[in-house]
Amino acid sequence: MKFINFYLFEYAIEYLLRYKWKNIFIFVLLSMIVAFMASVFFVADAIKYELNLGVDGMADITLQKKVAGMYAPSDENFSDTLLEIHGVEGVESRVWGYYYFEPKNIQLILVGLDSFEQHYNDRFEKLTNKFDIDDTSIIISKSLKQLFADAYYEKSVHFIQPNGKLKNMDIAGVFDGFTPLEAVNTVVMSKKSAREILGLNSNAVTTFFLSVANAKEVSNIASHLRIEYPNFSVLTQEDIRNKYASVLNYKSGIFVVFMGVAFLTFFMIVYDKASGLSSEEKKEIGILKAIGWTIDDVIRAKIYEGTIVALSAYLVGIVTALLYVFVFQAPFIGSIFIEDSFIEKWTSFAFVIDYMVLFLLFLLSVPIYIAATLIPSWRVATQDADEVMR
Amino acid sequence: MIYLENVSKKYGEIIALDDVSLKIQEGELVVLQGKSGSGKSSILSLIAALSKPTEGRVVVDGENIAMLPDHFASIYRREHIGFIFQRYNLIPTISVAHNIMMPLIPINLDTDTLAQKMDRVMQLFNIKHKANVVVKKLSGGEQQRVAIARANVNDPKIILADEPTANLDAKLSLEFIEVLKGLKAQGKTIVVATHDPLFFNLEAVDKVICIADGKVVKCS
Repeated sequence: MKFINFYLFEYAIEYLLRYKWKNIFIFVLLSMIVAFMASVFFVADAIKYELNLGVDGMADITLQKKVAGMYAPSDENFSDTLLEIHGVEGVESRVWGYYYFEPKNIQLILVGLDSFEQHYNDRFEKLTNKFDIDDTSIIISKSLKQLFADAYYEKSVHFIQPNGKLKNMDIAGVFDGFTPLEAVNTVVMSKKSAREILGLNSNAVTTFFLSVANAKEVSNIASHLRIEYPNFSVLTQEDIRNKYASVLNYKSGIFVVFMGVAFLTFFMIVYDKASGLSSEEKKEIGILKAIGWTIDDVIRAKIYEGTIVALSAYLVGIVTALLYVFVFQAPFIGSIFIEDSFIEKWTSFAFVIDYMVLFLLFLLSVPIYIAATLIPSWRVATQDADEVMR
Repeated sequence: MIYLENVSKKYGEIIALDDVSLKIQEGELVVLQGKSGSGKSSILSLIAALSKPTEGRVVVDGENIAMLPDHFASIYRREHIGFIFQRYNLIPTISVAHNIMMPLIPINLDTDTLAQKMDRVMQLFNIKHKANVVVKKLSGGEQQRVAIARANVNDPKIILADEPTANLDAKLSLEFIEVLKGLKAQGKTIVVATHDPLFFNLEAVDKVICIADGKVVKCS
């Protein structure tokens, strides 16, 4: 006997077509739920991946001065004081700040680097080695270059200084190797230029990055800094990771509620399906048994039927989610996740697939639907055919 | 040989058959005569193993089919029984060919054998020209031919027909009797449950068994 009975498969398809509107409704609903849930997970995983990658590249401890709760510049010489702290291996001061680029309605992050400095971040190190950053040039990402070109800034860009004068900066190069989070709106320039555009004094810096020799000492040093310098915001890698995670988890929480509602709807349909068959459907099972179908034959036909609907809906849902997130960049869901100030604009989602999530979605949709198809048919098939046909 | 020995069948409080015993020889055309509700259909149902007797034995070719588990009862029906139901019990929303094919589906035959079997019965019962027509669009007589074709597609030894002429006019009823004669000529054992007088004096009929109130009675 052949392993797969294609006639039974054909019967299952033909049966589905006979109740096509009901089955199309279930197929569309299930596909949408799977697509929606998978999209949320894909977006969340991609963001988590990018954030973790970004955080991994950060310094052990980040310090920023605060005045009346607002971030404020510090004196660059403060780095010498920080270097004296036991366990601190190196201190890098950075000049950075937001700059509103009106032609494209985007917040740029201006980062001031000097070529001769040591950098905590490999990518910045490579950048300063590769390009000669002088006071009249900037280095930007490919996507930002395109954005500037769209605003007719192809070779150079004008920045408005606090005194109202324009500062013309040449686009000296395009960097790569950065995560989308870092790269998308970052403009790298010399510290001097950054200070001029951001309106900072010649020895002012915005952030200090501390490298700690012993990773186990990071939290101790951070605690020490918080006590010693209460006017500074002190963040370890772990703090930044938790901050991002808490924002993401809050967002994910909203979606979990939505998904709960969506799945509740699906389970209601499944419950309705599992609770019984129409008299027409019951009679058909009775007829099939009367002409020689065994309970196994009926069950197999119903498994084919449930599998065709649920598996195809699952696959369509997953493919839709892949296209929606990674090709169309998740409009709506993406913007809900990425509206925070720490992520100004997103270019593309990293292709990160958590196979456990796919498996979980599969378990929540396909076997449940097949069981819902199977149970009422099995109940009818185990009765006397004579009784069912009456 | 079909042999019912002291068979009783109850549906809850209702007694459908009460201590019925009868014998049908191989190749016979037997008519079960009786009014509606007399118990004729219950006898057919027991012979087809569609239901189990409350008491007694139903023996077909030496095997007590009343004891068969559900799975084997289905296989027994598939291999030995062709049932023509009173209301045909076709699936109205699929084609003639699909309806006739239904008993063959679980056997998983190769395409050629399946096509041969289908072709044979559709030609034999003159329904091939309607193969792709949806059953609900057929006339009563055509639907009955589909039911007969389906009952014969597995070439069973026993044909059971429950009130086969109840929904047919006189002309179609006579046509059906001709079909039965043809099946008898092929050596099949045929049991017809009916109260249609057309069957009672037929030359082809070997035996008439009268049923009343669930018991075998002397025919008047």
